Amino acid sequence: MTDTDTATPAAAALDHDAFSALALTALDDVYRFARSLTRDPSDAEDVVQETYLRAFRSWKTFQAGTDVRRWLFTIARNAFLRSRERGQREVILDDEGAAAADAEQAQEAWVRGGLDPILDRTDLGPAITAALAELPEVYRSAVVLVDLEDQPYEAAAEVLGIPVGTVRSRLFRGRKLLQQRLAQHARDAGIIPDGDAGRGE
Amino acid sequence: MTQSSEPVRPLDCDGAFQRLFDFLDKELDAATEQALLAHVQHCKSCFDRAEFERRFKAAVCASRKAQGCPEELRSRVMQALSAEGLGR
Repeated sequence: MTDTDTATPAAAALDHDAFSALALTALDDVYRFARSLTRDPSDAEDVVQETYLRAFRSWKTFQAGTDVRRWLFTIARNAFLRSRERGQREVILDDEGAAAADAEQAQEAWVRGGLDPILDRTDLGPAITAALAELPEVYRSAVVLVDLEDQPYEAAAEVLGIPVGTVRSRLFRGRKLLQQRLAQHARDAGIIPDGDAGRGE
Repeated sequence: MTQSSEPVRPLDCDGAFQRLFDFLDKELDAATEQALLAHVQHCKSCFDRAEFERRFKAAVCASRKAQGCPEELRSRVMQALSAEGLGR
């Protein structure tokens, strides 16, 4: 969006105010989603900046009354994809997912037993953040959109460019993986005593 | 006479588990939600599992507060947008 795109200075000011009031207030959300797309914090920061520049330039295409976060998440996802070699990334992630699925079934009941007593603790946030950062991107992005950003399946499917059924399966596997990683981090942080959970990885 | 809603079909443990995450994510229709609730109210194993997954989802959601945008990045984005003309 530039001054030449608006009819008058007053209209430009209104557009800028709307952008600041809507898009910029979602910066935390876009940052969390960008972090879910890439493990590298500096890559995530580049995605966030690129997202906001693209959003500002195309602000006139945003439909008032629709969910600005969904619009920004879609732009962020596209910015991320353009910055990466897509084929290489997906082969790696598929391999990680298969290995994770094998581990998942063997450990589920045992991980539940370790996590159950600690889920209400208020100091669990850093361990969850660390565990989330270790998930393969395909699972992490689904979990972040639905569990952290409270997006419905249909919105997550649109943002990620996948069918709703794939959102559902990625969420299921992603949550199981996250529980395993969280048990490990909680044990490492001394939140779960050694021997209660976290072994066997 | 046309019925206003589909009859609720009882769910067994497998059926309840298959729908558990849709329920927690508020993606179930009302009739299926009632069927799932009716099952977990009478099945301790499924109730325990549902409670664990509900509490886990709540804990993950609560962690979002610790994952906000760093101030340095916020400033960087604002500078980039100012250079693009925001506020002019």
